[in-house]
Amino acid sequence: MNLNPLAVIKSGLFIGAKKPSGLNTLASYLSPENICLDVAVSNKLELFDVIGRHMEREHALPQEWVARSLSRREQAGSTGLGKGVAIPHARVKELERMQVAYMRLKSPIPFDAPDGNPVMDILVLLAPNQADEEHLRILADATQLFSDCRFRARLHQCGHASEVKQLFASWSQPVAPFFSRA
Amino acid sequence: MSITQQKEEPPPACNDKICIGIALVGEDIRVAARADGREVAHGSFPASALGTAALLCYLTDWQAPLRLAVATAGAAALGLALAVGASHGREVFLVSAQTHSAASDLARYAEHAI
Repeated sequence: MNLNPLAVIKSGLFIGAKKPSGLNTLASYLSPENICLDVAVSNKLELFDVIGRHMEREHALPQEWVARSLSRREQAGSTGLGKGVAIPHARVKELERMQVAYMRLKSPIPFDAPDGNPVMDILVLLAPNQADEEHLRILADATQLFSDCRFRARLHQCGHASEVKQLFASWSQPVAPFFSRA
Repeated sequence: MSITQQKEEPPPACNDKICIGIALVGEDIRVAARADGREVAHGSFPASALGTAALLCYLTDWQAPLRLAVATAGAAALGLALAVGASHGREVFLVSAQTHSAASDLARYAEHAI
């Protein structure tokens, strides 16, 4: 029988550990240059074009390729979530790392969201093909944030990209302790 | 090997489809995904209209046939099972939450269910 305390701890039950909120994960992907406010578009296609141009300018990704990927994904099913929020996203084979951008529209646009409301808050996710865990984590984190009406209200009050970044980074939810078997 | 000596083999795993376990736990919709016989992702969405929409988005992202095992622990979970199973090409298994309540276990269940 192995009585090495380190071996026991390694295979034992950790008590009182705190579940990381995970909300700062999204903030770590969102850089100020990927935050655009007062974007003027009138429909989805225009939005995807704007996103494509932005990704080309900031990250040297081909504009048409980004726009087409987003549009193709959107045809499979709307990425509108409701409450004025949409998360257009696409899995892109050649992408090396996840790209996240936030755009707030000047005026809401129709997005076939489940609640029928137009959207103004756009969170763009471009994920590498194999980023299964990362993709789900970012999507889940974003949904947690945007589900909070107080967060959405504060977001709409932000006047600069740096304020938006700060809000994403600092917003947190109460975390309950949990038991985890190592 | 005689018949009496044959060991009981587990049912064959369905490794050519994406298998997803979904459990409604408190204020969370917990999700785990398996592909090629291993877990590839797990996470949770808020149990709200936005969270359900995001889950449906996530399922659509796979763009592949899905096998979904949903733990049923109330009317809300049944409603969720109906919502996720609405699309063409999806098999949905309703699993008693007393049998399996963890998303990872449910994903494994979906992988092995016949």
